[in-house]
Amino acid sequence: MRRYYKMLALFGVLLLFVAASAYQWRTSFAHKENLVFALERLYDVRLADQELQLQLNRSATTLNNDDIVRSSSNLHRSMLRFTGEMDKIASLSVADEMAAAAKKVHHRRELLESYKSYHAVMKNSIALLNMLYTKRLAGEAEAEFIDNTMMARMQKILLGYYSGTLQMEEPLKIAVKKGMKRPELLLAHVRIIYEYHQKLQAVATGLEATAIDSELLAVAGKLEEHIAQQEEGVKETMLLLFGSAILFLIVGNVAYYQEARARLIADGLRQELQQFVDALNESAIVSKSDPRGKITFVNKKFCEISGYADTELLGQPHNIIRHPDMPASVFAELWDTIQHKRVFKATIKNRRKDGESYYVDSVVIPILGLDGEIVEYLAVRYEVTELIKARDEAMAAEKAKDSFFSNMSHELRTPLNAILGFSRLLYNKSGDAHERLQLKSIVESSEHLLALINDILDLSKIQSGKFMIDPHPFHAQQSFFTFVSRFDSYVKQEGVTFRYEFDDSLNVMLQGDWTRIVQVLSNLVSNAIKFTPKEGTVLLKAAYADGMLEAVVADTGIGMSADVQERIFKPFEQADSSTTRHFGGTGLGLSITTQLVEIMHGQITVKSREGEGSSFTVLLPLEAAQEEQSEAVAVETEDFEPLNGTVLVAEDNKTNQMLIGMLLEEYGLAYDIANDGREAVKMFAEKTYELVLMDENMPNMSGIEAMQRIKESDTRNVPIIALTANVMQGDRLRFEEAGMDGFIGKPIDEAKLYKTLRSFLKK
Amino acid sequence: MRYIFIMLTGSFLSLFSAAIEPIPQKIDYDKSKAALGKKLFYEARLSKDGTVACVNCHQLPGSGADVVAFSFGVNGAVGTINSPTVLNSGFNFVQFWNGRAEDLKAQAYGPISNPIEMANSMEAVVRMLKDDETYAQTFKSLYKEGVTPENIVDAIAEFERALITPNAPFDRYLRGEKGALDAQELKGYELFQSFGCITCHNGVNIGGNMYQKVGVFLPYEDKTRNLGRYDVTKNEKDKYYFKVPSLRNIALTAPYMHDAKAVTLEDAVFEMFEHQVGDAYTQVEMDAIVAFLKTLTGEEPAVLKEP
Repeated sequence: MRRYYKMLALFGVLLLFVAASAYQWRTSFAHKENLVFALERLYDVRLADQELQLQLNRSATTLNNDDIVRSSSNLHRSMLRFTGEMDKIASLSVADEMAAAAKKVHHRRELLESYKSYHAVMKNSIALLNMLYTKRLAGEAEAEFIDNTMMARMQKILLGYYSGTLQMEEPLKIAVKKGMKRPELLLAHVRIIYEYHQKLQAVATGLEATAIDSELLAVAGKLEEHIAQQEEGVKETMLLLFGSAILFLIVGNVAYYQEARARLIADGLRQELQQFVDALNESAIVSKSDPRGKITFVNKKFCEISGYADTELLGQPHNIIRHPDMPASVFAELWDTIQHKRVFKATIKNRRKDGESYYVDSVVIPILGLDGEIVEYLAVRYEVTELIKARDEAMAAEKAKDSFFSNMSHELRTPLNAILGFSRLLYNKSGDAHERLQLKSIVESSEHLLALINDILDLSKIQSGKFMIDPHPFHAQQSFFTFVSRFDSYVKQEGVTFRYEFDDSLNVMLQGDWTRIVQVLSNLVSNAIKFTPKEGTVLLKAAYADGMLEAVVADTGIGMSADVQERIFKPFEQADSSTTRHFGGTGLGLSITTQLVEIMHGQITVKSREGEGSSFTVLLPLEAAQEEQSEAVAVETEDFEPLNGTVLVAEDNKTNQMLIGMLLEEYGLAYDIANDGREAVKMFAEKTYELVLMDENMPNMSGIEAMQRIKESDTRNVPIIALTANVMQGDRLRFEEAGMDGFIGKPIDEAKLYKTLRSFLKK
Repeated sequence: MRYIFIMLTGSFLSLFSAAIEPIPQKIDYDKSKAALGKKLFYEARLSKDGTVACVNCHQLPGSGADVVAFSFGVNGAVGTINSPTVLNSGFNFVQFWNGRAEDLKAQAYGPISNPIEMANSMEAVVRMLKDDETYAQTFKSLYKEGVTPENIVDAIAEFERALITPNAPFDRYLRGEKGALDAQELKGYELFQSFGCITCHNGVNIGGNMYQKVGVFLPYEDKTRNLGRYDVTKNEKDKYYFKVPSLRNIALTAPYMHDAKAVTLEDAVFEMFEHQVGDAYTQVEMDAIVAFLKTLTGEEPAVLKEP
């Protein structure tokens, strides 16, 4: 824009220059024309003057004065015309010359009149002399009075007159009188001749003196000089004009080409930009607003999606599409951001004209002018309503799945609890070997089913990211030794050799979730034992170095091919589908193991060759614990001792009531059963209990509510242990936060129940 | 430049042949303007009391002059000089006896305001003509500015310019018609030249192209107090210098001389011999000259015959 103004100004100046030159040229030219015209008139005067001269010369040989009259008035008129022309030329200071010339012309014409008159008289007298002389020569009688002296005189006069050498004689003193006779008349005429000769000579001198040629030439000189100057001026201005015109052309052309070039580039850019804009308009919701937020532009997409016509939008603030769900703080932040010339990004819920809502991913960009100030705002939005919906649906689905798993595990575990519990009781009590074998099979199948359910739950938890690591300090070496001891019976049963090498570096307290580590290791070891034929060897090696716990489980088992090695970490994959049939297992173990390692930021790798065994290496980054807490690991004891006390069991499920009752009796505890939360609260108020086992899902009043009621009135701080199939991640936390003193999942792990009861009732 | 230019060779008389030229048979003029001028020429309302028109003293058709020595103006005022003829006046180099008007237009202003002629004012004349619808329209059709003093005199002058009297016997003779003059008239022409009359009376108008002193030879006794050119220039040497009058139609324009001293043509020739030529002559010569002068009467101007 500024360039245009500059160019325009330049053009203006040039144009002015050209105009000024042209004007000056025209003026100079006109002035020159006037001068030339005046000069022409001057030559007319000279011509008339010369013509008059000619006529005067001729007048000696002619008696017609008309020509002289004509020439004289010609001179007069041409002089008038010339004076008139000269009056127009104010710049020329020739007034003196002109006045002198005019005066001379006037005088000249007066003299001319005298000349005509005198000359006529002269000729009249000469004519008389000529007549008488001729008659005397012819001897005519009427001329006889002329004597010889007179004849000589007459001859002298006539010759002198005709030759132009007439000489002045003694002045004659002859008075002209009335009735004079020829001799006297003749003398009178001679006298007149002399007299008028004198007069004519004076007139001739006067005519000579009134020659205006010198004045005319002087004026002509000045005129010519002036004309030359003007011509120079005209030439200069012409040159100037030409120069400016050329300059004008050059500048114009340069400007034009620059402009054309700039336009070409700009056109290219514009086209490119237009394509971007088109693409943007096709895909995005675009709007622009002035610095105060009033909409100045909306694209078609905006109208389509908002349901407003552009006429309804233009001039309005953007809050026309604001959804009441959007908190004001979002828009405050938006304004704060863009007013600071930064780009604002957010997903915003908007409202259509018909009240429907839609979601947009918004980008609001402040557009700055050349001065760096905000000119307008550009908002580009993409509709993400479908995505948001999909996300919400996905989240709902996830929630449903969690809930499903939670319910399923509860529903599966509750009957399994009964199956497992009673099978074990029957197995322990039965004396019949055949019956015991069958019962054992039931127990094992139930345990397998439970393991499968647990695995599925674990995997589900892991996959939904809800699996939490709960680090505690533990003594590595002691923990490993305890760990391997669980496999004693299994190893014997399978007939494989289980060796272990625990490095001295393990004699440290480490901070980590040992429970999960055990899950990983037992999975690997179980697998190794499972897939190793009798007489084979399973080796567990462990060491701790540089904050890294390394555990290797190697076997001499069937091994795996390379492509199997790639698949085994994926869920439900085993070496092949026949593996499951041959070796059992859920096929989830390695997958869970792998994901557990990853959650603990560790690594698991496998080395294996088909038929030559496999070697799994687990690397876990574990920090050394701050203080020794050897007590924590000293819990593990198999010693059984009878417990004392009365326990209130709140449980709605009859089967579970029986199972729990039988277990409590086994531990030497007395118990009462409450069928729901309300009954539990009532019973707790009526009798003194040392402990409460509280199921969560009960009719009439939930476990948590019942617990809270009891705690409200209880002064003895009777421990209340949650007993529930709600073992999903977060359940434990929820119970603890609610105020439960302990947590036992269903199906009830006998050992865990005993330990928990013992820890509370000993105190 | 010297007096040498009058050096002559050859015969004196032989040079006089082209001294007089015939009046052109017709001249170009604007007929419409001349018609208007003619009407004005006859218009008595140009004078103060509506009694005197141009034609009163310049009788047309006729001599273009007055038969009386001095014309009468309004209220019977008497002029001081003999009216010159208006015929062929366009050929004169100046107008009036003393040449105070350089042309016909300038002349036309004179009589209107002259107290002893029309005694009027140009303003009054303009008013009168503007009030007259016919005049006003005619002027409007001929002149952009309509009735103005300049246009009034222009129209009159245009008419007067047209007052030419061609084809006088002498003109016919000059044009080669040898029989146009008889012997006596031819003798008169020869004498007109040899006596030197022609030195003043020459050109197309046979006079009217120079001033000459009345009484060059013998002082002229003037009955009037006119001093001629001197009245215009107040130059002592111009005393008694008058415009040499045209001899055209001289037979019609009696009386003669500015003071109308000469009643007849012979009287006039006599006065000329006495005061201007300064020579003796015989009666035969006088008769021949008078006969010659009578051949200078031309035809009536064509413009007068036009409607």
